[in-house]
Amino acid sequence: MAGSVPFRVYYLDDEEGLLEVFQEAFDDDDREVKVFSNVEAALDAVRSQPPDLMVLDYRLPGASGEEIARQMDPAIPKVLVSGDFLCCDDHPAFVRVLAKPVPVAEYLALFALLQSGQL
Amino acid sequence: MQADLQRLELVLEGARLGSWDWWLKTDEVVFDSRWCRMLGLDPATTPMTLSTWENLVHPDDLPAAYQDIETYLQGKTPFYENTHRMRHADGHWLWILDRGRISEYGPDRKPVRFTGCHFEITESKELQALSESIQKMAKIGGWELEVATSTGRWTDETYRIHGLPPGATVNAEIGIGFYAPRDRETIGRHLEQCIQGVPYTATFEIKDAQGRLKWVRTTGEPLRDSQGTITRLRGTFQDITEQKLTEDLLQEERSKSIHASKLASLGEMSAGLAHEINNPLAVVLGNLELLGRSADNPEKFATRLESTVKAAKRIETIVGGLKRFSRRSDGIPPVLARLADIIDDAVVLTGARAKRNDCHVAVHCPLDLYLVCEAVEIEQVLVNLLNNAFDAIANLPTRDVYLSALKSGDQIVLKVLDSGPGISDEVEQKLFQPFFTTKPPGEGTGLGLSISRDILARHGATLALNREQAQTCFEIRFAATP
Repeated sequence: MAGSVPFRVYYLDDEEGLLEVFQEAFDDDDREVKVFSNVEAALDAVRSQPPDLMVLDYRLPGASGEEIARQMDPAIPKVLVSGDFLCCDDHPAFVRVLAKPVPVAEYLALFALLQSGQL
Repeated sequence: MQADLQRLELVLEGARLGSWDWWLKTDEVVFDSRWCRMLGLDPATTPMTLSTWENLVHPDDLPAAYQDIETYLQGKTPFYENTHRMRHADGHWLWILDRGRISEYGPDRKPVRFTGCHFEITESKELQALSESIQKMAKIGGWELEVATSTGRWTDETYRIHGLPPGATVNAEIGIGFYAPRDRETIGRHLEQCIQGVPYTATFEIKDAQGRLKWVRTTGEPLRDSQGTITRLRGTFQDITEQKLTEDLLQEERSKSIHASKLASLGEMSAGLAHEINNPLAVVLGNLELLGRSADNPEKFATRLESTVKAAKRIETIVGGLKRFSRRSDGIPPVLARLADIIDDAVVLTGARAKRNDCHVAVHCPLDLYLVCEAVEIEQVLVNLLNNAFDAIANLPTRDVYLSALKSGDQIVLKVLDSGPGISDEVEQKLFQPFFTTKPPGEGTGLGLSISRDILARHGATLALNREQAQTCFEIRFAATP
């Protein structure tokens, strides 16, 4: 896929350590990864350059990932990640709801599904 | 001579003494006027015979009286003495201390005349009976110990408490034998120090003569003779088994309800706590997956490792706090704890809830404030107050909680102040009632504040709403530890 337009993934979480790992794990020649710990910055980025996948943490300062997702273009595929016990049912606004900790392989499989248009 | 006789009359009258003079051969008895009046009789019409006395003595007491007379006449006692009841002419009973001796012998050296007197002791007898029944009711007995001979004297109730028949021989050694071996040294030391002049009060478990375990509270005090030397010890024994059992039950119930309320607040917090654990766990696992990739880059490897350790430590702190918090606190003796540390623990434990409600917590606590307390219980109180504050302000524009502690005189004052609109008078009335809650159904047990107040009361501290603040301010006052 080298040379083609990279797959763009944004990740919004207030856990800095996770953002670091996410960036490190997935940002390569095939993917453009942007991470945000600030809700406004994420919303701005989504507006100016919509991603192919938006990953949102459920529990964000001042709002939930659900609420933030509603402020974004419904056409953008979104994934909700959460460390809570009680928040892992399917949700119509998200293509997947994942429980933290999310293994690297699970993200990779998800990217593959989206890139191949199976999701 | 006349004056002497008159004086004697007055003394006898005042002393409530009445005399009798018994001629043994004929059973004629001369009762003097005081003897007659004591029993409400007219001396002029009272028959001067033994049967007068015999008919008035309580039938239950008569055999013992004759027994004592017989014993004396056989020369076994230096004089005759007996205490018995006699019926007053009005019908009520008097207690009489009766004493006498042979005043004349015949030529055959046989006694012919027996003279004595009656002393009325009804009041002191009644007092004694009253004191005995009080002792019995209160299960309090008395004891005395002669220091020189180590011989003891117990009251009936003390015998009863020890499961012994009244009158059995007792001394210090026998007394100490009722205590559990582990306590014998302690009670022995109390007795030794009491002999040196130090009174004591102590609670022990004893095994009575029937093998029953009992809890007793015992006191001892030294008694001095006219020279000031301690010659005797005196004290009390109280059977407090029933109180002790009730106390234990209460204590058990209390600790159960504290634990239940703790579990309830843990339940309320658990969703947030899962998040607090799963987040760093995700950091740990993510970093570990990346470690392999960073093998050829020592700098990156070190960064990943450092991030892993940091996240793992966060988990450790939270899990450790949870473990400590959920442990039952009964039986843990109070310790000297730094208030700032207790506050830290409570703030960490409630951190998830604060974060979810987007509340900001500020703490001001000097590092030199200490409490003698069961630290986990005080932490539980703070967790309750903090969680309440977070819930109260969750939907407000400003969401601040301020926790401050300071020493004021001989008290430590701890305040939990939130940026909410305060508490209405109506709610304030019911604030500390068990099961009262303003939270939506299923979100609060309504036990937090009542349990908190109970916990603090046991620490000699108070919990109250500070009405000087427009916003909600709970104030805890501890006695400062010097």
